[in-house]
Amino acid sequence: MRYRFVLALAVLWAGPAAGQTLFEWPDTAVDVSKYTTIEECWAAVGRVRRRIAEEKEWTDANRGMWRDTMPDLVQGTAVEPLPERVRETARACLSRFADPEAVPIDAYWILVPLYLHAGWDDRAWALVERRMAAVSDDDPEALAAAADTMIDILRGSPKGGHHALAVQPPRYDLVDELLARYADRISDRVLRFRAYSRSLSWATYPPGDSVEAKRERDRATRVLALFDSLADHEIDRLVQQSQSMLTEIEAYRAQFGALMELSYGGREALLDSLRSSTSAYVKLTKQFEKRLPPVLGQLYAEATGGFAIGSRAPAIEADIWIGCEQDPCEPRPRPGRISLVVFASPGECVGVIAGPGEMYLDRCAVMLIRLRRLKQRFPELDITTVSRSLGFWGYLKEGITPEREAELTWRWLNSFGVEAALAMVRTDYWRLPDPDARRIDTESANDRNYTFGKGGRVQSGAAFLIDEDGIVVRVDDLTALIEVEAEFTELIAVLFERKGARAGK
Amino acid sequence: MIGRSLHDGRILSPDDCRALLRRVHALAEGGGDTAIRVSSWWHGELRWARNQIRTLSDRRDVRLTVIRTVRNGRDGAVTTNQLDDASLEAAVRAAERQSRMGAKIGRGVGFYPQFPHYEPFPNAAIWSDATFEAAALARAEVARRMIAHAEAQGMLSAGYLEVRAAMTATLGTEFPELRTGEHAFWEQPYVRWTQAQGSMTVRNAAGTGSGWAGLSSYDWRRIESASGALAERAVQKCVASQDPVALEPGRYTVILEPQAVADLMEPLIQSFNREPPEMGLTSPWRLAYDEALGLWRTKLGMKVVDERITISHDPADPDQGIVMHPLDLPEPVTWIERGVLKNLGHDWATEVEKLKGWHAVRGADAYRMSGGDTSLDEMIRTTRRGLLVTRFSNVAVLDGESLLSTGLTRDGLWLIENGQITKAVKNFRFTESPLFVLNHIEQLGEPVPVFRPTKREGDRLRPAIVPPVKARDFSFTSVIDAI
Repeated sequence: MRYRFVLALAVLWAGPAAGQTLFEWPDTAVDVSKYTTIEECWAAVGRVRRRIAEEKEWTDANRGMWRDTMPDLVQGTAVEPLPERVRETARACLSRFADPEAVPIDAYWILVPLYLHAGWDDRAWALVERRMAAVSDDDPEALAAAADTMIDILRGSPKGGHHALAVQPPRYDLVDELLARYADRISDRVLRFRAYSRSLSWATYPPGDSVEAKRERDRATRVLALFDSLADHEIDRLVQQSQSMLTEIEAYRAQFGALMELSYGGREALLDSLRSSTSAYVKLTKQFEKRLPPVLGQLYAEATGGFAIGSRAPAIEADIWIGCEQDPCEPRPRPGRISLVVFASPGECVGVIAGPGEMYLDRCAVMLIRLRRLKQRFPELDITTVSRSLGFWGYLKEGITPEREAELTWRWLNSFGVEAALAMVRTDYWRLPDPDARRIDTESANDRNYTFGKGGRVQSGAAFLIDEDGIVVRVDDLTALIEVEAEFTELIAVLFERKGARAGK
Repeated sequence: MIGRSLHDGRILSPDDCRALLRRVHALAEGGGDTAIRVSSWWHGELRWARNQIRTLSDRRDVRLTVIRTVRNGRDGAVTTNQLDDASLEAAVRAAERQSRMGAKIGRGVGFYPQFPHYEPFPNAAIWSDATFEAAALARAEVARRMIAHAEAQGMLSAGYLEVRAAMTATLGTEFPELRTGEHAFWEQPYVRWTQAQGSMTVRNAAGTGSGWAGLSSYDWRRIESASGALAERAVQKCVASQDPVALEPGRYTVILEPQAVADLMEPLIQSFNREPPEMGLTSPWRLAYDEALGLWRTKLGMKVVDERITISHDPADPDQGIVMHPLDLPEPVTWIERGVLKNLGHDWATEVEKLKGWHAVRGADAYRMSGGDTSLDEMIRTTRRGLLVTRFSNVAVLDGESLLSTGLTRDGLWLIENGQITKAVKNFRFTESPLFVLNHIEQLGEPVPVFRPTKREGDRLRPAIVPPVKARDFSFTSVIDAI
C-alpha cells in the first residue's frame, strides 16, 4: 500500500512535460541477441536494410546530392554488395542456424538468401544442394519448381518480392552452377527450358567482355538454342502453360538481339559506322533489325527509333518562339548544326499540380537535368524544346493564354538550367458537346511530322538526335529510367568528332 | 449571438484557432515547411429506450495534425489533441523526426508562378446559435415531450436527439513567396457549422407494430418545433402498422414517402462523380469506349430518368447549406435537369485539365429533388392496388452499372386497395434500381426536408429535400419477419 502511494506521488510530480511519453521515439535498434527464430532474423535483416536505405537517401539529400549530380545508373545499387551492417546483422542473428545440415529444410527460401547476406556462400550452397537432393528425379515438375525457386532466390528476385531476402548482388555464378548441376536432371525439356529461361537477368547488362556479360551471353545462347530445339507439340505445351510464354520468348530474342549489338562488338561497329556517315550507321542498324525475326525486329526498331532514323528531320513549326540565339528562330533544326529536338511540355509531364506534395523533382526533372548536362557537355549542341498549349499551367487556369504558357514554360525550363529554344504551338482543340465539354486536342503539325507516318501524339520526353545534314540518328525517351543519356552522349560525341574531322579536311 | 461563448471550449473560435496555428508554426525547428490541420467538435447527445432517457452527454475533442517537411525530408505527420505547450512541442519534434526518416528530394525546385487566389465561399445557413447553445436540459425537455406522446398511447419509444458543432481550418507555410493570400488554394480557411438531428421509433407492447419519424437540420429550433409532430407521426404509424398480414412478393405500385425516396435514392446520389465513368470504371453513367477519340464516353447529355425529375443543389438556399472549400464551385449545380444528366461532380484537377472552368464541381453531398403538386392523400386515392412505404433500411447496391439495390421496408408498410389503405403489411425485401423507379413515376408530391443524419462528430452537412413518389412495378422479392 505504501509503495502504491509513493508511485502515485511520483506520477503526479512527473508533471505534464514528463508525461509526454506518447511522442518518445521508439527504440528501433535491432537487438539480434533476443531473436530465436529464423523469421525474426529475416525481419531484423529487413529492418536494417530498410533503415540504411532511408539513411542513405537522407544523407545524400543533405549533401545536396540530388539525382542530377549522381551517375545515371539506376541499376547501380542492385549490383553493389550489401552494407556491412546488414552482413553483421545476418551473421549475428544466424549464429543459432549456422549449420545447413541441421536447419529445417522448409526454411531454405529464407536461409539461402540470409546465408548469402552473411557472406556464408559455402553454407548457402550446401543448403541449395540439400534442397535439390530432397527432390526425386522421377518428379520433373517438382524438380523444375525447386530449380525455378532457387534460381529466383539466387538472382535476387525472391518469390513474394520480399525486399529483405533479395540477394545483392545477384549471384549468377551460383545460378550457372545450379543449372550445370541440375538442369539435365529435369527430364521434361519444356520444364528444363523454363528453368534456363528463368536464368536470364533481364536487367541492364554490362557490355563488352566482362565476366558478367559473357555469362549473360552464354545463358541467352543456351535459352535460344533450347527453344529452337523444341518440337511443335512442346511449344504448344509452353503456350498452354502460360499465355505470356511466347511473348517472353520473343522478348528473349529481343534481348538476344540487343546482346548481339552490345556484346559482339556491335556497339563499337555502330559508332564506327556513324563516324563514317549517318547513312552507314542507319544501314547497319537496319541490318541488325533484319537479322531478327519480324516481331523482334519491330521491337528493336521501337527501342532504337527505327521508325524515324535515316529520315530527314522535318522543320519544327511554332506560333511562339522563345530563347533563340538568332532572329528569326526558324528554321529548326538548323542546317549545318547537330541538333536535339525534345518534346517537353510541363502540362503533359507534371500535369495539374493540386498541392505542395506534387512540387518535387520527378521524372520530368530527370529529363530536364539530362538536357542540361548534354548542353554542358556539348555547348555547340543545338537544343530545341517543342511544346504545345494545353489551356492550363501547373495550377493556373484563369487568364492562361498560349503566350503565357510559353513564357511560363520557358522560365520553368530555364530554372532547371536548360538552355534551349522553345517552340510553342497554339494547339487547335475542340470540345465534346455540352454538357460533357471535355477538351479534345488535335494533333499538331509537329506531332504529325515527328511520328513519321505512325500518327498519334509525340510523348513528352521524346528526343530526336539530328546530324548536321538534318538526318535523324537516334530517337529515345529522355524520361526513361535507362542509360539514355550515356547513349546520346556517345552518339553526339561521334557526330561532333565527325563534324570536326570534316571541317579539318 | 455567439461572442465569447465560443471560448467556453466547445469548439475553437476563429481567434483561438489563429492563435493556436501561430503557436505551432513557431515551434518548428530546422527550416522546411509546416502545414497544420486543426478541427474541433462538440457533440451533445441524448438517447432514450423503452421510454427512459439512458444517455445525456456533452463531449468534445480537438484534433491537430502537424505536418513537418524538413529540407529534403519526407512529410512527417503527427496528430494530437493535447494543446499545452509541452505536448505541441513534442508533436512538432516527432513530426520532424519522421520527416528526417525519408527523403522527398527537390521539393519546390525550379520555377513556379504565384498561386491562384480563390475567395472563400461565405457558407450561408450552416451555423445556428440555437444549436450551439442547446443545453442538455433543453434537449431532455424535448425528449420528455416526445416520450410522453408514446406513453400516452401505451407505446414504447426509443430515439435520439443530437446537436453538434464543428470547425476546421488548415494553414501551411509552404512556398511563402508564391502565396497570394493567407491561405494557399489547397487550404481550408476557418469554417464552422452546426448540425441537429432527431429520430424516434415507436413500438407497441406486443411488438407487432412499429412507427418512425425523424428530421435533420443545421438548426436545432427546427427539430425542437417539429418534435411534437414527429412524435405524433411515429405513434400514428405504430398504431396503424400493428398486426400486419403477409402479402406475396412481386411487382407493386408503390407510394414512397419522402424518407423512403431519400433512402432509395442514396446510391444514385452517391454516383454523381465524373472520374469513374471517364476512366472506364463501373458507374451508371459510363456509356462506351470511343475508339476514334480514345476515351470513355459518358451519358452526360442523355435522358436518364423521367423528365419531371431535376436533382440540384443551391449552396445559398437556407435549407441546403453545406461546408464549402474555396476550390468548390460557389454556384448552384444541377446534376439531372428534367430527366437529362447535365453534370457530374469532379475534382479540381479534372476541371483545370479537361473542362472549361477552374473550380471543382461537387457531387450531390446535399441535394433537392424536384417534385409535383400531388398530395399523399391524392396518390392513395388514385391507387387501385399498391403499397405505401414509410422508409427503407439496409440499402445496398448489387450492381454498380444499373444501381440495382436491395434493402428492407421498415416502420410501416400498408396495402392500398381501391383508393383506401386497407391493412398493414409485413415488411418486404426489395430488389430494385432507383433509376428504374425514376423511370416509372406516376405522381410526384411536394419536396420536403428529410432525415439525412451525419454519422460521426465533425462530419459535414448533407441536407436533402425530397418529394414523395408514386411509381409502378416496384419489385419486392421476399417477405421478412422484422417489424
